[in-house]
Amino acid sequence: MSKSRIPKINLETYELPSDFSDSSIDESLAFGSSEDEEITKYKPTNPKNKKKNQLSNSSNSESQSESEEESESEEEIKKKKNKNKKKKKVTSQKVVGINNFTEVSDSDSSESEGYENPRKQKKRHDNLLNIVGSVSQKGDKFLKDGKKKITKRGTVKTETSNEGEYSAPIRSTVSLNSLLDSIEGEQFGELKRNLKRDDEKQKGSKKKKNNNPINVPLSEPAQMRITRKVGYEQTKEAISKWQDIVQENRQKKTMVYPLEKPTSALPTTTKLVKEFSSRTEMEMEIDEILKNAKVEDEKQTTQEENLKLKKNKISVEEVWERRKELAKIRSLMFEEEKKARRRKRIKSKKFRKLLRKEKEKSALTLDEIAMIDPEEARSRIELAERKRAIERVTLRHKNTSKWTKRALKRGVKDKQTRDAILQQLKMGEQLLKKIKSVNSDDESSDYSKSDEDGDDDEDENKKKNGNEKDIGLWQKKLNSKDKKGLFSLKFMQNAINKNKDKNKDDYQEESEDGEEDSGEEGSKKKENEKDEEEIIGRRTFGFNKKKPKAFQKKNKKKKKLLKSNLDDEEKDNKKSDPKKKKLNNSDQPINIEMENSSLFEVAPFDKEDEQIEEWNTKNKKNEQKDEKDQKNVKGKGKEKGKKNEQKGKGKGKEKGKEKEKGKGKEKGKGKEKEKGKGKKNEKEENGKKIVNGKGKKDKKEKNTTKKNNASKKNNKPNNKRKKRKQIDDSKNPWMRGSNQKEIKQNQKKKRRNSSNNEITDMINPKQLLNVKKADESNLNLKNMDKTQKKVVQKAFPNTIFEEEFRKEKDEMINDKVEKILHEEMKGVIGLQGWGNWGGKGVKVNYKKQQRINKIKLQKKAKIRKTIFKNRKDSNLKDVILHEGRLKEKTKYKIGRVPHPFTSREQYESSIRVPLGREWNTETQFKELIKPEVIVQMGSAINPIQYALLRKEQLIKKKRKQQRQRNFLGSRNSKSKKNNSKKEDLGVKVD
Amino acid sequence: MDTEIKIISRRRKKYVRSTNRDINIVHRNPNPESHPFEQAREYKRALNSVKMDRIFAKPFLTAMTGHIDGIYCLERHPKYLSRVVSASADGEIRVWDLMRRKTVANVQAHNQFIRGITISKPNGNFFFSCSDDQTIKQWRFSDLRSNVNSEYQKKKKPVSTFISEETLRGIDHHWSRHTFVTSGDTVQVWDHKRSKPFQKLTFGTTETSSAIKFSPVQKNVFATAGSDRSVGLYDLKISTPIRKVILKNQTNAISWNPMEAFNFTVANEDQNCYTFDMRRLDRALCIHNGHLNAVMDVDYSPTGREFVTASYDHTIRIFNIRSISSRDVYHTRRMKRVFVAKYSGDSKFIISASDDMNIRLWKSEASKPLLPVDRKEKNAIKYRESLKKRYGYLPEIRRISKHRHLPRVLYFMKQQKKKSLQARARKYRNMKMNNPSSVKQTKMRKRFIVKQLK
Repeated sequence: MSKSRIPKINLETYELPSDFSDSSIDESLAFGSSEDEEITKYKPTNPKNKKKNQLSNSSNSESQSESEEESESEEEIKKKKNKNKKKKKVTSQKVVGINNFTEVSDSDSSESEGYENPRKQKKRHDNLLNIVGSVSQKGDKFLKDGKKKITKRGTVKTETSNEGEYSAPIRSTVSLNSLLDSIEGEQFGELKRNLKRDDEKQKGSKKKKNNNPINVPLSEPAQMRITRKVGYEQTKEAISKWQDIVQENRQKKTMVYPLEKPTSALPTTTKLVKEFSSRTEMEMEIDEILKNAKVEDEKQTTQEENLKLKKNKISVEEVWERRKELAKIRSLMFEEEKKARRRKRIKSKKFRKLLRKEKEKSALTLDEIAMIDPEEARSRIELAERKRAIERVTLRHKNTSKWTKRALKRGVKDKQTRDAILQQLKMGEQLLKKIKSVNSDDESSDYSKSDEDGDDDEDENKKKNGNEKDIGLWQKKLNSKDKKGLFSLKFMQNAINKNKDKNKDDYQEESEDGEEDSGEEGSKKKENEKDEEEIIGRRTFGFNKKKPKAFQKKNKKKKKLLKSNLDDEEKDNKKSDPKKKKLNNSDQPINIEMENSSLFEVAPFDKEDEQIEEWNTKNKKNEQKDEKDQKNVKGKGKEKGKKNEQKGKGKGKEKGKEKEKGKGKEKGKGKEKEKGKGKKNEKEENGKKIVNGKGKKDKKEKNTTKKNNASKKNNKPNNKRKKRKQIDDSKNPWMRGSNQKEIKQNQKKKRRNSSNNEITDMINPKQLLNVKKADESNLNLKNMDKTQKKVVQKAFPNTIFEEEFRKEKDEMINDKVEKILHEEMKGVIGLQGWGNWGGKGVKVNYKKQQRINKIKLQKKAKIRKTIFKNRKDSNLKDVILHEGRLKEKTKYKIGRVPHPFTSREQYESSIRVPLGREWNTETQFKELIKPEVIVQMGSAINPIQYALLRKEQLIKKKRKQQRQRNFLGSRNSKSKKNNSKKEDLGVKVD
Repeated sequence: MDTEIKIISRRRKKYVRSTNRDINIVHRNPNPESHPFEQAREYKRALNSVKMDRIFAKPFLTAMTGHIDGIYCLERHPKYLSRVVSASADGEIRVWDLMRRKTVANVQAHNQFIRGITISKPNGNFFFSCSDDQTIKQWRFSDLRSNVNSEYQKKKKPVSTFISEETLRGIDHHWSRHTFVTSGDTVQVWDHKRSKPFQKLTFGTTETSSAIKFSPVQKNVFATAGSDRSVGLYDLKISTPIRKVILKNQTNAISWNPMEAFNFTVANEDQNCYTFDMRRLDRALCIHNGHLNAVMDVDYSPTGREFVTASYDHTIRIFNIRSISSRDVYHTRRMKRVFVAKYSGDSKFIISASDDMNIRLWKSEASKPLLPVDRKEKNAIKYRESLKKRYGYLPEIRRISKHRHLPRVLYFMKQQKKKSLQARARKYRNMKMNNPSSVKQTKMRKRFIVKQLK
C-alpha cells in the first residue's frame, strides 16, 4: 500500500511518457545499492515520503494540498523531475529497510529479496532490460496493456487534455507485464509471477488511494521523530548481531582475556636451515673448511648407501623393516630396563614380601622336585629337618632371647614390641611348620585346614613328649612303604602314626588319672564313651550346616579313616577315647569358641581393638609358658592380677566342678598351676584356638549367625563340650560374666544328670533359649567391672546401646505425652486451688481423684496413640527422627535455591563432586578449579571486535569442513567395501 | 629399651622428576576411605579462605599527588597500561606513569575548568581536552614527554585548537576513526582535520548534555547524559539521535560494556547505577545500589564482567554486572568526593581521582597478591576461589565475604537509608492494601524511568 503511493506522486506531478512501470524502477534502484546510496539511505532528507510510508492512513487534507502542486508550471516540474527521481530511490530503499526489520514474514516479497541480494538482482534486472529492449518493437500488445494501465490510474489528470487520459496510448507507460507476456520460456516464470503479485498489490492499494490527495510535508519535529524511530530500529537491528556472541561468552566456563591471540609464529628449524647462508666471515670460513675437508652431505651418503644396498641385494624395504624391528626391540629393552631399575629402587617391605611370596609360589614344590631330582628333594628335606631339629632343641624363637625376656619382664606395653615378639613366635612356629609342609607336600592336598590345626596341637604334644621321637617318626615316614592300598600312602601312615603316639601318651595320662578317680568316675566314663560316639555324629551334623559339601566329603573321608584307626586301637586302649577324640577332631574347640561368640550378635571385630589382641597375646604367652614349664615369669605378675579380677565369681564354681570331675591335681598348686598337667591340653587348645580363631576372623563372622542357628538346633550339646566351653569362658574375660548363669545351670544339671541316665543330659531347646535370654540380660552393665564394661562395650556396642537408645526414645516420647497431658488435664481439673476447699482438715475427695485418674489414663493412652500415629519414626525402632528445626544445622542451610540454579536437586548435584586434590586426579583438579576469567598478565584487553570474531569463526568453519571431508573420505573408502551390503539395507552411501 | 629417633629426611630424588617426561610424583593417597567427609572439609576450607580473604584485603596501593586542584577528569591510555592522563579544575593536565607512580608530563592546558579529556584511538598518540573556555585542544603525548625544562616549554603547545561556538561539557573519541564528539548545548561531531564540527546533533529540545561516551563495540553509537535527566542515544552512521530516556534523576556518567555491545550502565544522581539494554529502554536490566550519595562516575572493567563506580560519598564501589549490591567498597580517610574512577587496561587496577587533588591506585581484587606467585600457590588460590564460589551461598560464608567496614558517618547514613527505604516500602504496602486504586503498580526496574522520547 505504502509503496503504491510513491509512483502515484510521480505520475500526478509529471508525465512520464515512455517510462517503465514504477514498481520496476523501484526495484532496479533498490537493487543497485552502491555505497553512496547506503549513506543516503540513512540520511533523513525525505521525511515526507517516509511519513507516507509509515503512516499510510494519514488525513485527506494532506493529499489535497499535494494536488495543488499540479498547477505548478512545467518548467518547475522539469527541474523537480530529477530531484524526485532521487527521492524515489531513497524512499523505496527506506521502505525496504523498514520492511526488513519490522515484518520478518514479509521476506518473500521481491523487494526484500532484492535487498538481501542486490547484486544478483541487478544482474537479473539488466538482463530483463535487455530482453525488454529487444522485444519492445512488437507493438500491439503494449498498446492494449498501456490502455489498461492508464485506466487503473483514473484520477491522474494532465493539463493537455481532459479526455486524453484514456486516449493517449503513445504516452502511456509500458508495463513490465505486457512486456513479459511476449516472452515465452520457463526461465522467466518466477519473475513473471513476482511481477504479477506486485501488480495485484498495487491494484489493491490504488483503489483506496484514488480518493486520497497527496499529503502535506510534515513539521520538522515530526520528521525528526520519524527519522529517530527508524534510526533506532536500524541501530537495534545492527546491534542485535551481538546477541549470540554475548550469550555464548556468558555461558563459557572460562574466558581468557585478551580475546585476540598472538599471531606471530616462530620460524621452524627447517625453515631456518633452508634460509641459512653464511654471511659473516667466520661462517664463510667454516664453510670453506668443510668444503675442503669434503664432508659429505646427507644426499651423498644416502646415495652411497643405496648403492651398497644394491650390491648386497637387499631391498630398501627389507632394511627398513629390519630397522624397525631393531628399534622396537631396543625400545622394549629400554622399557624393561627402566622397569627393572624402578623395581630395584623400591624399598617397600611389603612389596619385597609380596615379591618373595610370589617367588615361593612359582618355585617348585617338593613333589615336583622329587619328580625331577629325587636326590635334591631328599637333601632339601634333610635340611629342613635339621633346621627344625635345631629349632626344637634351641627353642630360639620361643621367647628365649635376652631381649624378649627383658621385654616380658617389663611388661609389654607398646604395640611394636608386642608385634615383634609375636612375629618371633610366628617364625618359630613356621620353622616347625615347614617340616610339616614338607610332610603335607607328600600328603594329598585335600587335608583340610582344620586338620592342620589339629596337627598343630599334636605337634605341641610332641614337643612335650620329646623332640627326638619326632625325628625318628620322620625317618620312619620317609622310609615306610611297606603297607598297601590307602594305607600305603604317606599321609595315611602319618596319621596312623600320629594317632598311635597320642594314644599312647593319653593312655598313660588317663591311667594315672584313673587311679585317683573314685567309683563315680566309672559311670562318667561310660557317658564319655557314649558322648564320644555321639560327638562324632553330632559334630558332623553341626559341621554339615556350616561347611560346603566338598568339605563335608573330606571330613567324612577323614572320619572313616579315623574310625578305622579307632577300631584297630579300641581293643588296646578303650579308656583313652575322650582324649583321642579331642585330639583328632581339632576343630571342635574352634567350634566351641564360635558358639560362644554366636551367643551375642557380635559386632565385627575391630582390627585395632587392642583389648582383644592383648588378651590373645596373653593366652598365647600362657600357652608358651605351659609348654616350657616356665614358672612365675615375672612379666606375668600383672596379668595374673588381672585375670584373678576377671575370673570373679565364676571361679569358685569352676573349681568345685573340677573337683567333682576328680581332676584334683591342681589342688596343691598355685592359680597358674591349677591348670597344669591335667588341663594342659584344654588350655593349650583354648589359647591356640582363640589365636586361630582370630586368624580366621572373617570366616567366623560370616558363620556367626549360622552357628547361632546351629546351636539352637543342637538340642543335645554334650556334657563335655559344655564343660570345655565353660572352661574356655572362664579364661575369656568377656565370657565370664555372660556365661555365669549358664554355667550354673549346667552344673546343676550335671549334678542331676550324672546320677540319671544320658537322655536327661540333653538340654531342652526351650531351656537353651532361656539361657540365651539370660545371657543377654546378663550383659547389663551393672554386673560388670568398669574395665569389663569398657571391653564389652567396645566388643558389642549394639547390644548395650540398643537398650539405652530405646529407653531414650521411650523417655522422649513419654515427655511429650506428659506435656500434652498436662495441658489437656488443665481443662479437666481446672485451675489448681480453685473450686476446692483448702487448708487443714479438708478431706480428699477420693472419688473425684479416681475419676480424674481414670480420665488421665484414658487421655494418656489416647495421646500416646496419636503421637505414635504422627511420628515418622514410630515404626523404626532404632531411629529417632527429629521433626523440629535444629538450630545448629541452620549454618549449613540455604533459605532458597540460589539464583543460577532452578531446583534444589540441581544445586545439590552441583556441590556433590568435591573439588580438592584428595578426591580428584591432578588433571581433574585443574579442570575443576579453572577460574571464570583469566587475564593474561600485563596485556591490555581490547573491546570485543566483530571482524576478529568473524575471522575466527571462518577459520573454525574451515577446519570443521576439512575434518568432515577427511572423515567422509575415510568412510567412503571403507564403505566401498561394504557398498553392496548397505544397498541391500537401503542405506544411502554418501 | 632402644629408642627410635625419627628424622625428617628429604631426598630430592623422591619428589623431583629426573626428566620432563617422567611421571609426576603425586603425594597423595587415592583411597577414598582415607579422605572422608569431603563436603564438610571443603566447606571448612571455603570458610577459612573467605576469612583469609578478609584478612589479606588490602586494596589501596598508592596516592599520587601533583595536582593543585580537584581532579575531575581522568582517562587511561588504550594501549599502554601504565599511562593515565588527568585534568584538574585549574586547567592543568598531567600524564602519569602508574608503574613509577609519578607524573611524566604536565601542561597548563586551559585557563578554566577542564570538563573533559579523551585519548585518540586506536593508537593513542594524541589526547584532547575541552574546557569551559569553549576550546578543544589536541595534544601529542610525545610533545609533552620532553622534560619540564623551560626550553621545551615552548614545545608544549597543542597540536591544534578547536574553537566551539557552544559550551562544552564533555568529550569522547571514536574508537577507530579520527572523529570525536563533544557534549554541550548540542552534540557536535568533530574531525581531527577540521576546525569546525561537521555535524551537530540535537533532539530539538533545549538541554545541555554533560557526559558523553562512545560504544567501544558498536562504534558508531554513543550515549549522552543530559541536564533534563535524560540519557540520549545517537548513531553516527545515520547521523541522528535515535532515542532518549528520561529518568527521575540526572545521570552523571555513562559507560558501555566493552564485551556486550548493547549494554551500558549509567551513574545516577539518586545513588544508584542502572544497567540498560540499548534495545529495551523501558526498563533497566539491573539496578545497582549501595552508594550513599550521588554516583559521579562509572567505568567498565575491560573484561566486561564488572564495573567500578565513584561517588560523592567518598567511596568507590565495585559491582558485578549482574548483581544488585556491590562486591567491594574502597575508601580511605583522606579520600574526599570521588569524581572519577577508571579501570586499568588489564582490569587488575582501579584508578580514582577525587577533589582532594590526589589520584589513587587500587587493586581491583583486594586480597589478590600482586607479585608473581608460585605455581602451587596459584593453584591453591584458584582452589580457594572455586570453593568460595561453590559454598558462597551458605549463610556464614556469605556473611563474612560480604562484611565490609564503612566509615562511621557512612555507616549511619546507610542505616538511615535503609530505614527510609523500609518506611517507603511500608507506606506503599499500606496504600496498596487500603486504597488499591491509588497505587500504580510498576516494577522496580521500571519505576525510575519517567518516559522514553521516541
